[in-house]
Amino acid sequence: MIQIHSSKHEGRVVLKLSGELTIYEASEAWHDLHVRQENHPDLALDLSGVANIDTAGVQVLYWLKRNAREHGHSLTIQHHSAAVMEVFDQLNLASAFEDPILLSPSGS
Amino acid sequence: MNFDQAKQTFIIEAEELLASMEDALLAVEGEVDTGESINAMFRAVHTIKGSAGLFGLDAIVHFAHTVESVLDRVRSHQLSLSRELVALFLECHDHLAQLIGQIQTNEEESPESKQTGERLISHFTPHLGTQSADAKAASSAKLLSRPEDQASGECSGHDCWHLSLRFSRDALRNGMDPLSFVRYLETLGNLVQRTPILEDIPTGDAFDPESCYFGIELDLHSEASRQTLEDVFEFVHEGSHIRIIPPQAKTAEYVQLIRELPGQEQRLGQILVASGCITSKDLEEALGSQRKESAGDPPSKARKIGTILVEDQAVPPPVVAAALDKQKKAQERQSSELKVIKVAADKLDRLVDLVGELVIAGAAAHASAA
Repeated sequence: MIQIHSSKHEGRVVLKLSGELTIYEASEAWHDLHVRQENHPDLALDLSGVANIDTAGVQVLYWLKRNAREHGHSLTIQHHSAAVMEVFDQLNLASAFEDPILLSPSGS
Repeated sequence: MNFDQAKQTFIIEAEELLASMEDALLAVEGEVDTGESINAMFRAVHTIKGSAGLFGLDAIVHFAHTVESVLDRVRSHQLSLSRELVALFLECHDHLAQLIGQIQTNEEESPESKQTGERLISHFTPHLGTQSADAKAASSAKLLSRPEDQASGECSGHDCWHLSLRFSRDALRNGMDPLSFVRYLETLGNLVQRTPILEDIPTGDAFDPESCYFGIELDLHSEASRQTLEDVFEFVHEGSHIRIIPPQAKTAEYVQLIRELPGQEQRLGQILVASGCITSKDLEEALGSQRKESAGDPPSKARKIGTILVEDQAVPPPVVAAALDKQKKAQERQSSELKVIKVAADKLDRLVDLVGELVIAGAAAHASAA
């Protein structure tokens, strides 16, 4: 299950994802997020609530990131949870995503 | 064997291994045959870890890896087996049994189970000394610099296996996640370089979020054999492309091995399999390609097996050259052996007598004709 909570921060829409972003949520998450992306050219995804992510989740995130670039929009991924950081590290995704990954001692 | 049957076999095998682990622990407690018991425990945990890896059962691999590392230190006498350690191992046995049970019933790992696992691992960490037990230091902040940023003299193409992994579109749907393979490979050595391949993810609506478009290039510094690395991908879905290229350093090793092989084998492919440079499976694939090429439409001249192995299976050319040399020597030996035949001595005597009689008869015939 995944929940998406929308808020505004410094004039930009921030979508906080909570729950899991695996193959079971990938389809639903993608459909929901890319519609929202169309409505908000400057968007941030807050991943601090993502407890579990797999390759399917990574693909969805990458698609969104690249989609933004292609349309001259902006999509920032931030507040990577420990689970997300671990996967990004395993697959060495930091440079592909080009978002700064900030370390936080609590890991979430 | 399909995936579910294989998984069942894994569960049965794991239960047997756990039983032998328990026997070994009881023997150690009773101070009987300690050395052999420790070896038996190590083997049991090591095998469970390996098999679990084939199925992407990360929790089991992760846990078994730590237990195996401690057992390894015990059996190499870097660590002595205290009563406390034996008790811990018994708890580990129980935890592994629980994890296997959860696979059987297809349950998610419960929070209590996760906690137990983490608690047991934390007890072991001091026993693992300076060796950093796990690359995934879960709770502390981790510096996300990739090893290629650090000048690690350890690896260049020379020392590392290169693995090129491309997964089939259905991999994720079939429960195979590239992540599991990467995590498992990490336990076989040191993953010095990881390059994700994301370009195959389609743009626009052609994207199917449940299909797998992910690929990765890996450099692995490991003592593992080619067979071990191939086995990691035994159950990977058809339609995936896995290429395993040995470290350059191995080339000299394979060449040496080939030279030392006994000299009768004349089939090039078999010489290469005997050296460990390719596996039987690799050879079968190459022979299959060769058959397809000669049966192709339009029929074309199939490449030679050595060429196929170099081009498709990334066998280093010097290794094929050494094998060809060995093959040539084997063929020469055989043909020179064929120039000499053994004949039974009494048969030779009879034949010589017959020739003598023929000569006499011939001379007599000649004399009467004159």
